[in-house]
Amino acid sequence: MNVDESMLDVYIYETQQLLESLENTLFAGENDKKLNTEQINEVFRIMHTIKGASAMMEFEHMAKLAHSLEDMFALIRENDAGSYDWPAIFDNVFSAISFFNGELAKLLDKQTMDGDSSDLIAKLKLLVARMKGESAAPAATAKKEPEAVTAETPVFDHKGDEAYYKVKLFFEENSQMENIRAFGVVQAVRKISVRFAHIPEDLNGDAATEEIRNNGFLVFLQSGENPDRIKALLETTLFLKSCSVLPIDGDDEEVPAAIRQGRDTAGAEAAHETLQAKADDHQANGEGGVSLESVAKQNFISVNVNKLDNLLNIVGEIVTAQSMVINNADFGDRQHDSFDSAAQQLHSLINELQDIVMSIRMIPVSTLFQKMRRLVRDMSKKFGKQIELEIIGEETEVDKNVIDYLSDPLLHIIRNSVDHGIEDAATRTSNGKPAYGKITLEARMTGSDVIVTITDDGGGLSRDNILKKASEKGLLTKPESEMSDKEVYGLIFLPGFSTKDQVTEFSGRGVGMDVVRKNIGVIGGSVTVDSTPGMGTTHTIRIPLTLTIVDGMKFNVGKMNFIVPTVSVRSAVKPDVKDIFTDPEGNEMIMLLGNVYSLIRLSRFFNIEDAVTDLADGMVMHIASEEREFCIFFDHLDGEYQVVVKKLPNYLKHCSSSLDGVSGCAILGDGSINLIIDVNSVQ
Amino acid sequence: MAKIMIVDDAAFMRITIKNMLKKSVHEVVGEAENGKLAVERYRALSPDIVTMDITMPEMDGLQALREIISINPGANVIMVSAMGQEAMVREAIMSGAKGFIVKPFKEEGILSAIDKLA
Amino acid sequence: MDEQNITGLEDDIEEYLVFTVDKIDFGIDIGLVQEIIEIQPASPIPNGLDFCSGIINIRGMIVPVLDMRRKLGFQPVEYDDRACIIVILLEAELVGAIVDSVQDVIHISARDLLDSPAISGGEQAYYTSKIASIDGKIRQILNVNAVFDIGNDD
Repeated sequence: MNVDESMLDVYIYETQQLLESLENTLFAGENDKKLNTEQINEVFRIMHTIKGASAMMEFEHMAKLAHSLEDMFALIRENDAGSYDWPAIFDNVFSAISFFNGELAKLLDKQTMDGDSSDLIAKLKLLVARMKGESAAPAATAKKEPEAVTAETPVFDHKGDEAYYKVKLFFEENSQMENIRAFGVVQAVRKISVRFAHIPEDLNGDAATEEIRNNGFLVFLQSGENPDRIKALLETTLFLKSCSVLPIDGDDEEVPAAIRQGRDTAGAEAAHETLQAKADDHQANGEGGVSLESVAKQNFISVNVNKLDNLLNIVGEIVTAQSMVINNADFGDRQHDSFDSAAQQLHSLINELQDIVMSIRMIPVSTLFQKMRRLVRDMSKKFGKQIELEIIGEETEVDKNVIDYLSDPLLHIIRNSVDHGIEDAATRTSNGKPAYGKITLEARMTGSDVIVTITDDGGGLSRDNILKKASEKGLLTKPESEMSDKEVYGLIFLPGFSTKDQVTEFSGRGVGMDVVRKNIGVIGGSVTVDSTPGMGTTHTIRIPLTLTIVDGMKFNVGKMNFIVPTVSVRSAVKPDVKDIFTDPEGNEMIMLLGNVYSLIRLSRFFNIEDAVTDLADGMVMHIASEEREFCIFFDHLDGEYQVVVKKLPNYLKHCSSSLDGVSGCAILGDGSINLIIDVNSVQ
Repeated sequence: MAKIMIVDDAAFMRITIKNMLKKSVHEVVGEAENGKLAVERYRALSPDIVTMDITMPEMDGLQALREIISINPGANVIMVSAMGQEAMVREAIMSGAKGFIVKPFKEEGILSAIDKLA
Repeated sequence: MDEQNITGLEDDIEEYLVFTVDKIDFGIDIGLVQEIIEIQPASPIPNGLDFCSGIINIRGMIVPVLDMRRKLGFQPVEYDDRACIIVILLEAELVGAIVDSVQDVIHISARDLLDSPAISGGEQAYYTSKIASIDGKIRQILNVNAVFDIGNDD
């Protein structure tokens, strides 16, 4: 088929959805160490669907793998109470899911899908072979359907004047399953014949298909119908290429003896009954429990996220334009009550619109959390550790963008917990802990923030080790004895702290906790860690619920315009020059309300020309984030704005030696571009 | 021109078939993602031809076929099957399906089947 | 249609936008060019490299702008009103390039494209992938990937 882009999107999207629900089914089943009937049916159905769609897209390797899985579950379905090697089944299906997802990711990136599924398929075949050997005989015998009724006599009496015909049919090439097509012809023939027989006799299996393909399907029949009507009737068969109906002599040698003698129909009836019984069985399986969920689903539509981004941008611009209009309304001295009330109404409508747009973008963290389940499962197998992952609050909703930025940090933290946090079973038991380690992943809302915590009951962080490593790398800025535990633990987030010497299958790119902090910082969040030696570690990630529209203070340094999120701003003042001094290392410090803070000149940090240099001519802003407080020196404060955060173009990294200190940008109503300060990375 | 209803639990397949039929004279009047809805919509829309997937949740294609045939014994139902479903297709034929098409199929395939029944 | 079409094979003909930087004509594959806009002040960026003029706002999109004189190693000048910004699409993002002026669109047959002689050395040679001689004038075809640092990411 000719693959158009939109079909590809649908294919990828739907297959991913199916894989996701497959994975959830497996997790549910793995807790019970097996799948129940309903779950087996679901897995079968999912594989069947993926097989069909992949075959339509001509992704043969995907279709074949899905087919192998479908076969395996077809076998299990026939005897769902049988005992199977469930751990092996789970492993294989999980591997297959990874394979499918990997290939889909390539497809999304417009790369060639060069994965090879043959190993997986071979493994599945082996498993199936073992199942066939092991599973009780009844399943195998039940599969053999009595068939091969070659000559049948219908119930009506024949008048004796019926003529004999030889019918030869060919099906279209590529029509497939020709044996079953022939079976369909047999059903039609039965209705008009006194007796009939066909070649090949046995319509089961590939041999029959092959013969029909090569030599056609031959039917000899005795019928009272005239040949034209027989032909017309048979020609309604789908995918029929040709059909000839020739009258022949009933005593012709060619006519199978079966018709001439006329056999009884007992065989046929028996076959029919078996089929009927199976069909009833099938129906019983398929119908159980109409779930409300599938009814509810019809109230949802899926929308391309780009459209939502555009919608959000437009709303953001409306917000900005609105504040421009209202703030700039220059009416001289006259009071404009009607304008004020209209402006007020516009303002509340726009707020409402903004809330709705935000809520459209909110999705539950469950999908992301389930991904972690998979990670913990695979890693604990790999490391031979027994770890349970508890998930709390997976229904908590966050902005779609947040999910994207949260994924890598979560993966990284959980990897660390499994790899370094949780001890092996022997160590645990000798320390009086349960052999099973536990990681708790929790999401909850607090007002304007979402808090995600990752807690493990492992060995905890070692203050001494961290200090040792930090001092080796020259990252200590204070004497060790003066540092609180929290400050020590905070060192792991510094760039350069993490080593890349433990690149495993799971830690992958060798990223460190500094990358975790940076990723979280991009969406305006923060991450902290706390630990009790011997008891475990808790990572706390705090992210604003809505990250894309922020309230910010606008200021400039030279020709550069900046926005700093208002939540981080404590105060902005004209400094008293005598409060500013230089410490022995040459860093500028400022005394504010009795406290001393370091003073960062943004013109130096960002390398800005034509900025105010005289401290008396500029301004100082006191900034506080979760981790630290400091002051910045800038030129001129410009007021408070509500802005839509836009990503910086990726290409900008080719244009700048460092973009540290800015996390995005915003376009104001006057068209000006403002850079958004990342308070955690200004130093 | 025939009125067609497409029954398949996979949106991908529904859209694929619909795209294939777009170029024909036929009109897709309805879709259903499971057997139950298929039967309901068959009653409501009385399409001339139904393409029916076999493996679906809620109610599978075979059962939906039987119910549709019981509503209209002359109903034109084409089963959409895949390799490996021989037994099911046999049952479908016994139950009154007018024929079947095997995934993966091409545009010509499904059009020729529908044209024949239209 | 120009005479290249008469002698050359139709399907080998590519279209190039010709622009001038310091009196030298360059060609860029027209397929990459999204639009040409008049020069406008750009907002500076933090720690900006010398060839980056900053970022501009094109219909709500943030677009980095490069000064081609600096990028190609020519003497920087105050741009006049003949200067303009060629906006090209690079890896799904827009990037602007300030040039002295834009000439026209020419058709160059693949046969007329020659590998750039590596004699001159320097940045211009590095950034030029091919040259073509059209009506006795030499046009250098930009190696867009090299000029814009594409493909050698970290």
